[in-house]
Amino acid sequence: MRNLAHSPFPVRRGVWLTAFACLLWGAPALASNPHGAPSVEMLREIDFGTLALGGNGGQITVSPNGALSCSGGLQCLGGQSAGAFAITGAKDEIVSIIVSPAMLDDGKGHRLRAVFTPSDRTMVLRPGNAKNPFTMGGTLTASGALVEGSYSGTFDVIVEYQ
Amino acid sequence: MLRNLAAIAAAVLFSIAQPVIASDLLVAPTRIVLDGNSGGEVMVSNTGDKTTTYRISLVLRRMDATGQINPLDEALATPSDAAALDIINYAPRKITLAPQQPQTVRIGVRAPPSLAPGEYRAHLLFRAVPDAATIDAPAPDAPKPGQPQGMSIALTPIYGIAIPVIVRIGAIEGKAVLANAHLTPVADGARVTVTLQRSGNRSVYGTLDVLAQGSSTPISTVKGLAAYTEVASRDVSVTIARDKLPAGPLVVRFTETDPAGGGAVVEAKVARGA
Amino acid sequence: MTVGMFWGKIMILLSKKTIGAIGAILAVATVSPAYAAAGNGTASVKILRAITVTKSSDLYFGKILPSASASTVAVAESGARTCGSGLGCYDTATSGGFHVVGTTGEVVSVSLDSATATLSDGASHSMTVNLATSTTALTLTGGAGDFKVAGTLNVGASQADGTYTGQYSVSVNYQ
Repeated sequence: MRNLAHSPFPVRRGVWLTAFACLLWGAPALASNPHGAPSVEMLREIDFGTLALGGNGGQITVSPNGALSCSGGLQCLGGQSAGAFAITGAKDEIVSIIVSPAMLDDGKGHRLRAVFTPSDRTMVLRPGNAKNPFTMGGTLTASGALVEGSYSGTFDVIVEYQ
Repeated sequence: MLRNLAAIAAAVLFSIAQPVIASDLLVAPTRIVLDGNSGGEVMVSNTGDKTTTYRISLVLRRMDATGQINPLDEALATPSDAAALDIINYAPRKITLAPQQPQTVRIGVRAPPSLAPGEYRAHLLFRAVPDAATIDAPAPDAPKPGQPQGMSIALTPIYGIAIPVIVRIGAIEGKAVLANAHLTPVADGARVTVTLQRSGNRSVYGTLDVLAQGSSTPISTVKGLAAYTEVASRDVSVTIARDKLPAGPLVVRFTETDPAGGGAVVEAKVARGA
Repeated sequence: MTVGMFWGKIMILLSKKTIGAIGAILAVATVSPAYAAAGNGTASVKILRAITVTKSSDLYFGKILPSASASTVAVAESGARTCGSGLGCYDTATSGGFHVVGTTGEVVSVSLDSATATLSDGASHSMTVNLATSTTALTLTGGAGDFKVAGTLNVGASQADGTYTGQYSVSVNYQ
């Protein structure tokens, strides 16, 4: 048995080389996915419109179909639109849609928390390059200490085959 | 004599009760600052439960040294006031909104090149126009039939919101300074009075905080405080409850939140005693 | 050297434990991009400061019975009414009340556009009202504040009965 300490391939490097080799091949443990990855793109951003501050803050919700509601001391002044996204992927595959929350900020250190709601949590994809659309709603929580300004932010949308 | 009047009165139809006007008005934002040839917008919303018509007009207001804002008759307008009324235009002038319905009012400035540099200010006044007073059932405490009916009075308030529209032409600058900060004991606490002084040809606008010396958390805050160009200074008075009053010295701080102010901060120590 | 031989050489060099570790790494590495994709979404909102004014009560003098001589009916900001001598006053009087909502700590200025209002019965009879408010600057503690308007009604001698209506203007000024 060779002495591992003197081997020309130190153990750690060996591990990485093995992993690399497996990825190149597609390790035998993986069931291969012949259809390719799904992809998701944004067609229109979600816009909560214009809000008027008052009192102790509140919440504003845009539903995935674009309806607006305000609670607490916030007044909704309109101009909202739900976001729109499209998934392209393998025919008849079912995908899950996962959305992360986000902090919107005004570029001056003031932040606002947003939670997003897609119109569908799962979708069955249509074939070829067809765009499978879904819309995005969301809820903003504004505290009474919120400062006026234009706020924006980005959030992750992840689509996964199940 | 009264009995004769009563006989006449009994024959007269009376309207009682209050006119029904739910003209709840929301205006946002609360201040517009524009330069030479630009525009802005204001949103108006009907937060009441009845469809209401609103009239929008451009009016003049004057601030005095106590900080009070008073209406100014156009007949008493200075050339600067007249220029402000000339260069600021807006549309529409009359809007009818259903409950919870907002609408945008567009504001534009068209300043001729010959206009001298400076700050020009007028105020956009939004007022609900009342419907004709409605006639309802008799009030519960009305005198019994046969007794004198008397007069019924319906005094309808037309209430409105006025926001400043400030136009800045050319190179203008202004600075705020705090002076004469002192504390006077009152029932239940103390009153801090300070004079906000203004120099240059620009109005100043910002937030006044009262803090314990060395602390960074304000004890009391007043926002939306302005000193307009027609006053060199204005007074501000803040009442502090006894339980919020610290033992040590107090400081007042003014932070300019006007976009042209650059966030400038000035402070002054508060002297105790009148 | 083919990849297969390379693979074989590595396998010989490593102990079983290490091979197990490699297996674990491979298991993690199998969550490959082939199964999932991420995209970016953007969101925006515009926040404005606002001011809201609502009427909470009308300035109401009540039902007044005139007398042979001129007199006054005064309603204070508290709503307390002082009925001038000779006059009859019925019904409960209220002062004019207004509720302002805005940003916490904001100060607004209250002004009566005119200190007098005229009431008319639509025929030739009229009365004047003197208006006053003690509130000039209103600080919106907790984001809201209220102010009241008081009035004094000048009733003429043998003022004709009827319904008298009129208007008064009050504005809330943001600075």
